[in-house]
Amino acid sequence: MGLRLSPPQPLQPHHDLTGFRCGDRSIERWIKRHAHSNAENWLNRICVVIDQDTQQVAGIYALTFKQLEREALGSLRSVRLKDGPPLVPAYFIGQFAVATAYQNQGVAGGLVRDIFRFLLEQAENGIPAPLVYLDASQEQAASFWRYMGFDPCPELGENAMVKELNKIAETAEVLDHPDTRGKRVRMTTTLKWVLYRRGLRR
Amino acid sequence: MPATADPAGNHPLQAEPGTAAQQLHPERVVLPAEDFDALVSRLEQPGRYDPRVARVLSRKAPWD
Repeated sequence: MGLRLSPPQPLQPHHDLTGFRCGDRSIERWIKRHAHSNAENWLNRICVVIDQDTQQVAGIYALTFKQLEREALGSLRSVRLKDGPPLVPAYFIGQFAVATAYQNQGVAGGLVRDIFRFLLEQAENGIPAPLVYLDASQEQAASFWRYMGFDPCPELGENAMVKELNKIAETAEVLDHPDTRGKRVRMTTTLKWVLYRRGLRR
Repeated sequence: MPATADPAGNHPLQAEPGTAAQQLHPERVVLPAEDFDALVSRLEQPGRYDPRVARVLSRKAPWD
């Protein structure tokens, strides 16, 4: 019998993470210590894929929101849009793991697809951010994220990898993806909207 | 040039154990002006079709 996995869903208190094993002790430790409390306190968007036969967690990711700021910003009130945006909202993939028993079966790619779809949804109806990034400190991880469309971003750090929303949106548009059909996300519009909402745009 | 921590010491990529970053809290990340401007320039590039993203968006997941 094949795998019966749920689509990614928000982590709920009844999801059991105690037996989660992915081969990376630091990730396992974080999941056990912080996943439930961070989700309950709205600090992260944490999604899990559940094996519907065993109720085990097969995959998990955690996103959090970052505000990237230009140094020496000074008074925000003095910032003019013509000078460029003084801050950029971003989503950060802080944790991403597939349980050992479910690796190499397409779960990881499905989780990345879910993250891309989430960004597109947020651009339309939520908190838009023009990029998603992560820290790929291990070569194996860097190769995986490169394969998934991410690129190195030295501006954000030595091991940072980034994907820009406008490239996801443009690709989805070309594919005529049902999630994005008829929606066109523009980077500049996103930024202006964010600045407007924060009262920085006159 | 790598990013620097904000005055509170927060930085997602250079976190010490037990910091907010390790716990994955939302936070401010202050970038050197040069890096921030380069990042904005990168983000302002017109969107274009990316075959790697197309592969991800088109792929069938085990739950489909």
